Amino acid sequence: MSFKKYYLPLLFDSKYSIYPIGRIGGFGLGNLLFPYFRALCSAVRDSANLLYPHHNQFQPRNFLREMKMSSLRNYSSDFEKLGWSSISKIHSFWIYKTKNWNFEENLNNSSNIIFYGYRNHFYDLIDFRDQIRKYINFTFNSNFEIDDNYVAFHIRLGDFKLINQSVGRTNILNMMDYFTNDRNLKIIIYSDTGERSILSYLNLKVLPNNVSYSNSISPLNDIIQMSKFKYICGTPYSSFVEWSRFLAEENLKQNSFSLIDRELFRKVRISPLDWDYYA
Amino acid sequence: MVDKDNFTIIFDNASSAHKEGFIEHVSLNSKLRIIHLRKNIFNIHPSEEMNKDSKFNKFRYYFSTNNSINKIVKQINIELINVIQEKRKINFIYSFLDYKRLKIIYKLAKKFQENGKVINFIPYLEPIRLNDFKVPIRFLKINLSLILQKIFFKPKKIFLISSLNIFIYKFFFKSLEIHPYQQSRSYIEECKKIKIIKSRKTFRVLYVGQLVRRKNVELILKACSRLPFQTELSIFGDGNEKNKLIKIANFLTKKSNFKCVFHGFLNNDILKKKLGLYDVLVLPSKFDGFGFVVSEANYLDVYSIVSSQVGAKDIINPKTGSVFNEGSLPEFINHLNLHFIRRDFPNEF
Repeated sequence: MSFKKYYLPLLFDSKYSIYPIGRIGGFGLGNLLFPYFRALCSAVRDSANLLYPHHNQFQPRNFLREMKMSSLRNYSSDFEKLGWSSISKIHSFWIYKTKNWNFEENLNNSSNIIFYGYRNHFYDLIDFRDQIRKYINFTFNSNFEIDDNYVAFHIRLGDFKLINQSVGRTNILNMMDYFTNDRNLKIIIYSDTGERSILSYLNLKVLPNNVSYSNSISPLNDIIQMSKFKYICGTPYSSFVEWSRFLAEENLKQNSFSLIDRELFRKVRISPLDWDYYA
Repeated sequence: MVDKDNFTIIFDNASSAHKEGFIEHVSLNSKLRIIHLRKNIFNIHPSEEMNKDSKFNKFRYYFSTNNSINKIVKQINIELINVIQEKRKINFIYSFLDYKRLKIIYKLAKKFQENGKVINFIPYLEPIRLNDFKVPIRFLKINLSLILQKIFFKPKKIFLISSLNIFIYKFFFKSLEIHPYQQSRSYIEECKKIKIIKSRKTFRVLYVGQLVRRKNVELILKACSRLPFQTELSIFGDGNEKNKLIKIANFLTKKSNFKCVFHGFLNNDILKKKLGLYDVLVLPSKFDGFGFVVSEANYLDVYSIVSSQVGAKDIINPKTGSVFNEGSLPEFINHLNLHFIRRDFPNEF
């Protein structure tokens, strides 16, 4: 077997795909990051070359339903920032076309490997947690700082409503009440949907006192910001909020509050990291 | 354990500390003598200087190839006649492709055979360069030499220092063994004892070697100028491209995030002490028969990034370094970037 290796973060396997131009269909950012980091960490471990991630994607179903650009589920601006650690697009295309490829199952006996799908979620990445944190911190060099009396509250609606995984409005409102009144903390909401949709879902006219909405710069930036909060609240269904917990620095001793109960968490568990409190 | 009946004569050019490991390996199963055949035996090569304390020095003989073939054969015969008296089988391990030295070996073998000895020829050769304009002439010369060796020496096996361009040798010989150059065990152990605390701020890149076109030092400058983090490149060595490279470095450092320092020639003892301070050794040569400095980096746990045309790529594994396609700037940059991520967590990966 040749020692020269090439790893390609294909991210999502689609019938309609031209590497590295784009594809139709794809995951949300949280799930795209699994194959990306598996490819990156494996390339670092195996001294392989990392090809440009196949990130450009269009999700017409979501777009037609919501008629919003963000519903296209294209995370190109985030992935372009991560691009420094991979070979340029054109060169990657050339390597892709001139080699035979195998999937991750053949990592030990093949030189050119395609990474896609979320596989074992964070279980595949937990050993590389420090390296991933360092990489993200270096790449995004975020100056974001937040006081210890703030809670990052992640509300995922989007397609979660469709697949019946969104958390009931009462649960959310009770938790908000607990933070703002019982714990005297302030809440910042991070969401994949706009403030209006959240108000409509919660059946409110305005957000309660000490609760504000964060206007997203980019989805990955949201994940990084949420990782810096002393308190974080969300649903373990969402890989998005799990990424924030995964990236939180050890010395922050982040407190995490799950919007679902422990039993349900065990059924949907995607991370070896426990939550501190359950609904 | 040394087999008393086994006897080996190693024919070599200059003595070199980087071949001590191989000689040690041979000495495990055989008594040996080392014959150095070269033009000027008084002209000491820097690699010989490193070998002054070798435990094999008492077994070495030096002969100048300026003398006639018959005279050299006679001299060697006189030196060895008593040592080989009791031996029936003798291995001739030689590292030559040129006709004069091959003829010396052939005539010496004939002399020994007349005295009832059985000679087993084993060539120990370096890779052949196949990516420059001199290829046709070189290819012809080497192939002719290999054909003659096959006819007259009939070697049962061949030793190579690297798998680089091995297909040429495969064409002539069925049994091939790779024996990369390496230093003596005591030298390697001495290196392993050196403890160095590296700086974690700047990414420190090292190049050691000649500043000539074949070494492709320009590629290092181009790669370092495109790294997104603070980088310091140290270049040790001299050569006819030095002034050109300084000009390029001055131009690139003005525009980017890296510093470049040219240090001149580096003595091996100092190299050993300094190497460990660096995060990565780079050797992007268009062709390098081996690349001794890569072994040094290995002994000192310094990661190496080498091109696919460097013979020492065989001693690299994913823990100790990486290999990129010769001449490929994107792949070279990618390996440097990934090593920047790796360097703070050497044990985790």
